[in-house]
Amino acid sequence: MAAEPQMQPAQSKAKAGDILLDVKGLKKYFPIQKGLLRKTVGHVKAVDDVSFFVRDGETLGLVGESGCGKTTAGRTIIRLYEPTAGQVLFNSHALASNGDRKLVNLLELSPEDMKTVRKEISMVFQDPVNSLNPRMTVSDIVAEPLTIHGLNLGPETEAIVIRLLERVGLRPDHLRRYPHEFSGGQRQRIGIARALSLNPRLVICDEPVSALDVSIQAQTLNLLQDLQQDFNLSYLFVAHDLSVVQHISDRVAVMYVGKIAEMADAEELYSHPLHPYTEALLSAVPKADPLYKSDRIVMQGEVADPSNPPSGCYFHPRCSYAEEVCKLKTPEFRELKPDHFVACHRAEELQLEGI
Amino acid sequence: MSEPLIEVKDLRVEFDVRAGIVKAVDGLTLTIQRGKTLGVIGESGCGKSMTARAILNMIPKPGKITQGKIVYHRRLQNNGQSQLDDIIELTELDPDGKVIREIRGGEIGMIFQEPMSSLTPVYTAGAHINEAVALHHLTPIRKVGDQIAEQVLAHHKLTKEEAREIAVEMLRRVGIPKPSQRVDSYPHQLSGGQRQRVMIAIALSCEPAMLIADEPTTALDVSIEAQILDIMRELQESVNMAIMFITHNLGVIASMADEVVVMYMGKAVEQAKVIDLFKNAKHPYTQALLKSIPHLGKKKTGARLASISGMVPDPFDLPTGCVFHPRCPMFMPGKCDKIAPSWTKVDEDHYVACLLYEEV
Repeated sequence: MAAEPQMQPAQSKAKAGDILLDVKGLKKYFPIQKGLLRKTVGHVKAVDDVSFFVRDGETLGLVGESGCGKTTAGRTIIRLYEPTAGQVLFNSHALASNGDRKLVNLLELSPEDMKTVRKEISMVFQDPVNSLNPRMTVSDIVAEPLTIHGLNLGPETEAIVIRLLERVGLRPDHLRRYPHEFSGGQRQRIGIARALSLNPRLVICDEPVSALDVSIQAQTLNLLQDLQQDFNLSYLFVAHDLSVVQHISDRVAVMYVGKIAEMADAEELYSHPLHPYTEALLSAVPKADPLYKSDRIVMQGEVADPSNPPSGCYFHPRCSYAEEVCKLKTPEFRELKPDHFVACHRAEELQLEGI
Repeated sequence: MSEPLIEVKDLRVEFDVRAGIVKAVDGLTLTIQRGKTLGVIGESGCGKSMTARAILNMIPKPGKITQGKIVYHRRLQNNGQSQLDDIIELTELDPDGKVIREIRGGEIGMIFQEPMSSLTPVYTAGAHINEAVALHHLTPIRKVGDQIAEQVLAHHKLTKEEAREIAVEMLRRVGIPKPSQRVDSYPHQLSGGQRQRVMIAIALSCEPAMLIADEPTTALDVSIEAQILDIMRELQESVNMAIMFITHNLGVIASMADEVVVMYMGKAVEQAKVIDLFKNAKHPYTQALLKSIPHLGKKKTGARLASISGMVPDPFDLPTGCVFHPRCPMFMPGKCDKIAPSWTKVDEDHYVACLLYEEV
């Protein structure tokens, strides 16, 4: 382990374009229990056979409406929830010897190995109020990951924490303050500093800006982009705001009821969507342009219930292009164009409109 | 064409708390026209919700209206013949009095952000439709239909069957499937989008002259948001209702509003027709807000968002002169930190409070 793992630019061996995280067939079912004996009567299929990957130094945006399983997917990857099935392959430095990389399945790691890998994967949470312990000072919060991993070197730690705070735009005199003394945007910066304290390679950002005002949101997004460049970070950026996701992501995956509907390069996905759900979502977003005349596709009904999803393609009851086959068969998630994956029976024939 | 419905004149709302006095709204003047939508945008704490509450004379304690007035041009139905406007000063009314209670809910409807907590959770299944208490909020344990019917009963003299019919009809109009069954549902049996539709149904059931919508779609998904906005537009057209639409979402404002007021720290900084505001914003704060949001469909790889530097100031320690000057990219030393800008007309229907447009 490096003597000073903090604030070093990420390991130079990582080449841009290498796959850092490869999720294959990930499933997370939550049991629905009823009655005195807590008998399992069904499952909420929060994440249902999801596959995606994140390359070194890139941002994968994971978008979808509430309850589509995007947050659960993010949390299952680092085993905050134990997955039901699937593989999460991670290209780890910490577990390899002599600075090399080793592909490991996070779901099969022993608790010790998992703890080692967790240094390379950190998380930024949505709610900057509840994700910080109100009884800890900023200095304790940011240093806690170091303590947990036995890297807290006493007096030197403070210098590390100060550097982290300065990096995220806070002042050293904030060190001894408590979370309630900060505004929402500042709290989110504290959360980001904490996520960076172990010099991770992958940061899972779960709706990091959705609780912030627009001007603070812009500051935070800019900060995340700067940090990504400086530390060669990869982000899994979970959010529901399509314009924010487009702004920050290199590639985007769209989730619907526990499954990935479409995944592609951000520009490609927004301009040439292949899945009707993506098209409908894009057209539903209110544009900040009063002259914009939209032929809005208004999706009928509501998001399907993941404990009792419709047959075939889960989107078919709301889809304006649905045919008989959509009710019967679950579409396969396939690569229709290079790097453009979609799960729709009619993807080849449909001419969908992007933005 | 333009007939004022509500005129807010030099309104000031103060909160006297232990740490000092906070001016939640400070000298705000605006007019809501009959049948039009006025958008109010601003960041959290800028006083937009407090303005809405002041109109309904519902400022929570220890808040007080310390200055200004709110004039309501009440239209009386004179047996379907000539229309008479009765001018009421809302701020002068007793907040618990009969007149304001007729106006709230009856003539000025409201929708709030949280559809769940706006519904009351304490009524049982046996609650009768004709239980005409003068509440206007949905309660989670009371049937949806009861809650709409109650609203109608509180403001019109109808039998309970008639009220129930209206409830079913309203649910149908806001796009709830199977309204005659849904009328017997409890709020917890509905999804967030459906609850917000019920709120709209309640607010609109008395055909109010104005609807105050305070972040009505912020808690909803985009697909549901699109449905709700469509419903609001349709209903507005059919009953010629004015809407005061409060939000921080510029996209929603662009698609809903006729006219927009931008607020910052309790003051209006700019007001214009929606197209002028988006295409020709004058105030540096408005310009910065418009630039700080990522625009869908305009991908520039690696592009940064223009952010507003600094933070919203401490309400107990407001900057001198123009309150925006510490964050303003156009800051003019010696002017902006000394002189408070006044409300200046820069164009037809376009007002701004900024020293850049004043001769000083």
